[in-house]
Amino acid sequence: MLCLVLTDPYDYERVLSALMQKARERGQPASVVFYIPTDALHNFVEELGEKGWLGSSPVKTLEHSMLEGLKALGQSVLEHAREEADKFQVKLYTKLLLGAQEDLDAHLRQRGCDEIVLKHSQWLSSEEA
Amino acid sequence: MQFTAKQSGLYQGGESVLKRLTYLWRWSRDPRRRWMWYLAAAIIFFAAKAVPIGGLSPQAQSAIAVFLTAGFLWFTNSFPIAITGLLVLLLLPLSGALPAKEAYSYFGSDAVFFILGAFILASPIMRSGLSNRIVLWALQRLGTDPVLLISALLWIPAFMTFFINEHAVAVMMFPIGFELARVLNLKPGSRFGTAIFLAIAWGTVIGGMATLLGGARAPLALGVLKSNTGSTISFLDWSLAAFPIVLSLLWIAQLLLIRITPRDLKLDRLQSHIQTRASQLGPPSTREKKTFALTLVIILLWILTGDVYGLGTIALLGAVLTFVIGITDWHEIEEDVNWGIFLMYGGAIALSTALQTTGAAPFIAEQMLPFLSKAPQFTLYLLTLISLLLTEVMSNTATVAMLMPIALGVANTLGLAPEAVTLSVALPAGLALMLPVSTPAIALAVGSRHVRTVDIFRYGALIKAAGLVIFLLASRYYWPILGFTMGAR
Repeated sequence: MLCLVLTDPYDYERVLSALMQKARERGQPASVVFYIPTDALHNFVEELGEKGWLGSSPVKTLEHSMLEGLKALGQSVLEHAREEADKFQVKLYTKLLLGAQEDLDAHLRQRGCDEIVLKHSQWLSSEEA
Repeated sequence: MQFTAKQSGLYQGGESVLKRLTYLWRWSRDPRRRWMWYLAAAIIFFAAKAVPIGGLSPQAQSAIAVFLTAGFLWFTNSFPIAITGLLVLLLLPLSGALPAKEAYSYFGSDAVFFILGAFILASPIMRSGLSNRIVLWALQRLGTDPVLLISALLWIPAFMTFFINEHAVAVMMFPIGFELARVLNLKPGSRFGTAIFLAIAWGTVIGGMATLLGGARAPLALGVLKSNTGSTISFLDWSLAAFPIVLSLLWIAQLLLIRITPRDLKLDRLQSHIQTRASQLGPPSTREKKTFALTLVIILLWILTGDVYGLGTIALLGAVLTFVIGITDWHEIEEDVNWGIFLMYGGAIALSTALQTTGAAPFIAEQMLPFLSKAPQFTLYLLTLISLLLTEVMSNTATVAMLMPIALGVANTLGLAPEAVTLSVALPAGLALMLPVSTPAIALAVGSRHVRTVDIFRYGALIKAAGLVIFLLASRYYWPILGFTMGAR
């Protein structure tokens, strides 16, 4: 299966279209995962907390609200992916995934991805990504 | 399993030098490779100690070695900022720059206790729900029209930073921004989403310059000024010096935001959401009323009696009163205050004093004299420019910690008023707007993914350029009216 992993809600349209095109040519289903690396988000917020002299409680509040905000954006991206899949008449599996790198690996294996395109931003990437 | 890395900028063909450097930087920032930065810091320290410099006492040379090492660590952020402050306190006695007893005594600075008290006072303002009530009250009245809403999101956090640390305000406001984006179902990259998060970020950053309560850098600058020269700037004078600059910058930011904001957006759903949220708050609680009253009293005391009792003493009075009138408890304070700031403050003030008392700062200033002596005014403008630039790439507190000792040395050598020099360094150090690494509010705007880095940079650069002009005009024409003469005494 062709799989696309996104961590950024920007500039993914071209790669999404290419994925759909390829999936249609092959007659295969495709999968789009919007992945939020929670460990990277945690590190990002911790660093901000240190820089802004924030206590542990505001840091937790911030992490929670950022996660909620990113989830909303991720849902919006996946909704767009589903619309594209309808246009291309491709069967599409979508997933909003929160977790560590291993969770993403496990999900992709379970989904049976044999070709993966990863489009991720520099600001929110795990050390391993 | 075939794996295609289609990353934004990394590993792609035809990499630019900048991209390669970015990659190298990220590679070296891996915690497993941190030792390289520590090694570099050690080399800087020992090299600065070993290189013979004529006309410099061993103590002064040691102080310079500690300064360069701390500057490098603050700049590269290799250690947590507070730990670098602690390292300074370790290296000053160890290198012979200052006796241990003297180095540690700078924890007793008025600035340290001012910031401690201000942080404790801020806790019940947030916890009691008072800050949320103020925001919702304003949004209820102004959230009827897109332009009014965006203006409110710029001015509300700016207003709040007059009383609370700007980073705490950012933490309070960004969840509200996320909530608005969710309710309005804003897509990534939408102009309204961009405007919402830019408004919050700019409001907190620009507003944070207005009073001594907005950012930790201002009390630090005052602490360094006091320990080096014995003089200080009152709460009121600082605010008077900063307010016209802050208001001008907020006005410019508002003009930019109005250009970005789409006018045809319907906000009915948002209005009913805000009404629901506001009605859930109920009437103001006793805790909110007490918090409001205490905050007002303490601010008045800072303004009216700050010169008599000291800002730190009044801040401590406020901190104790929060417990006396029962608006906070120790558990909340422990969770809300980042105690690392005190390590940073103690270290930074001790370092600047060591540079001054050992003669290191005057020595550095004298070396710069051939380039600066002909135009003292230009020196001050240069300090403003350096502060504006440096704060984009390192924490604004660290910018003040690094620049202030040298700036005061230059002021002393050129006969410039140290108070004016302090304003020229500390106020611009708060205006970090262009890069995601510059300050938490900007990092959060980019982190929201509603604002592109390129937008942060280009709009931030515009405000920054305007800021430079405004700072220079203020230092030339406005500050002298308040008694902060920029020219040679």
